[in-house]
Amino acid sequence: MKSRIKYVFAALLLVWNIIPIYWVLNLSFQFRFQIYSNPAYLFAPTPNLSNYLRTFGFFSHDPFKVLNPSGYSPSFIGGIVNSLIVALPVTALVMALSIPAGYAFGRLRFRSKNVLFFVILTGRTLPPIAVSIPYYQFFFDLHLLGSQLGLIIVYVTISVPLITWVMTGFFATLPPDVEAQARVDGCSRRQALARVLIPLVAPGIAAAAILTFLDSWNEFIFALILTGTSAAQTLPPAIAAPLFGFGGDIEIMTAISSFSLIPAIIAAMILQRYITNVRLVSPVMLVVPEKV
Amino acid sequence: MEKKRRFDAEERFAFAIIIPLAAFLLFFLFYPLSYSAWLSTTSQGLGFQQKIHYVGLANYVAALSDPAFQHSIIISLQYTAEAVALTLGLSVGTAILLNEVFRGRTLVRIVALLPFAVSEFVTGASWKWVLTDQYGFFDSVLLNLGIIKTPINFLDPTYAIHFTAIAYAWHLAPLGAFFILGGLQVIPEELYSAAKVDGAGILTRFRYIQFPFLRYSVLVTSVVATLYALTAIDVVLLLTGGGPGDSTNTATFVIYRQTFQLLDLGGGAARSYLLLAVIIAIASLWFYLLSRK
Repeated sequence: MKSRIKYVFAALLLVWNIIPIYWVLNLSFQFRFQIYSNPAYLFAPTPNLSNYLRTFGFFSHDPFKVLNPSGYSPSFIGGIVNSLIVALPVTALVMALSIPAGYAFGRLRFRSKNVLFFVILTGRTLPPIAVSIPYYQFFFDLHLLGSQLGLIIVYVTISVPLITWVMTGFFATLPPDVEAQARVDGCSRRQALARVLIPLVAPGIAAAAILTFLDSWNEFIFALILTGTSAAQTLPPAIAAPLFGFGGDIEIMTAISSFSLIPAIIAAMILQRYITNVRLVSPVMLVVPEKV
Repeated sequence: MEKKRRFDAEERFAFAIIIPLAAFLLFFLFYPLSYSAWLSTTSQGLGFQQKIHYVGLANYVAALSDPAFQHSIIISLQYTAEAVALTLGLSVGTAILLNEVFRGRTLVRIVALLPFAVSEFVTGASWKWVLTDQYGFFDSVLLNLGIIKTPINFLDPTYAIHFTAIAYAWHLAPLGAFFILGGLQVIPEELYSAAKVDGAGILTRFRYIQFPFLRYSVLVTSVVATLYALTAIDVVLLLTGGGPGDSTNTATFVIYRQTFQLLDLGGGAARSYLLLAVIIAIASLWFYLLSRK
């Protein structure tokens, strides 16, 4: 009885979470004329990769005629390259900034700690759209508009507060003795961090790095405003461009959207292992201590 | 004395390793923000050639008396309330399930996390395709089952805002589940063992053991979900584009339009700060609830 309830819940959750993803994938494996049939096919009648081929610049054909490559394929391919050029350095930079800060907030005692922590966290509470205006002007002045470097800077500022919070949680939950032992053994504070503590939180760091990469890979509004229609345009605005206009090719849109899900699916597969030992809640207690 | 000196070294080390982060944020986040605060008191347009005029609080007065902006704040609050309520429900359910041991749990965990890994803009786009009256998933199911004869457009003015909230909650729930699962982990093991002896099922355990412990993580989830939902724009932009009519014209969408379509930077910045005031007010309320025992 007990386990039957579990499986009912699990089935409901699976269906609910999968519906939109399934639907994009399902449409992406159909020819255009199949997509527009009424009612729509719940399962692709003749699953094929035609839309994907056209998305990446190849010819294809349906039962009736030859299909040209999508006119958007250069911006899709350029977008994938640009997204990688942006997301990889962002991940490295965020790690470089947040690991030391997370260690300091999680394990060291210093003045104005809570205030500093709170100020850093507020960085994530601002509406992106509010910050996009000053960034637009700022990067215009620095000649960084329409460049990958500008976007890298913005993404670091977006991701780093939350990741610092997560890192703080990792370091704070390590037993206090770990470090003391290393210090007794003659390590300097820096050596203790590099040789003992960081290896201990390495799995957490890996999870945080994946989250950071995904944040950059998925970000849309800054990419649109700061690199849209330029040569530095990343994948999300490239995908969305046809959606804004009418008559964007739905079959191409579903294929490129499905493609953009690949990192998300890989991330979910890796992150599920950390789902119970990532303690995201505890750092909040630094900001709002529970009153005893 | 000795103790004090040691503490100072610790403090110096702490500041030394935080400085890179602090400097980065100061220059690339707080400087642009102050710049934008100044911008909100000027008549700056997008284009940058013309003279900038200082206009004091005129942009704020104009924003506050702009019916479209007033309407958008109400739309935003309504959609946020719905999205947060739904996110809470979904994430509590998900967390409790993920906390259980059962066969196939790894698969369920992967799928449980998936929506948050999907970007907001693909969330918007894919829900649009699920809800549309052409090639929509729901219509296809209903038509195939013979429940309806002609397709329904779920994104009509009456329902669009609710489905926007649903789509956003779909995306956000895994994050909430993360937080709440964290809360479930601090429940002492003895309570579960005692319940096991008593033969309590998953629902009984929730009612008597987990529920009392969850207040804190539910509040954290509420704060985070509120902040995310109030500042979100991708889902609206992709799912409805603010329409039909102005039925899903959220505050963020109005700011986007004011700035990048009407090219009124000052007006956009002023509206941003007004939205920020609303956000801070709501966040303070949550934090007050959070710190109250």
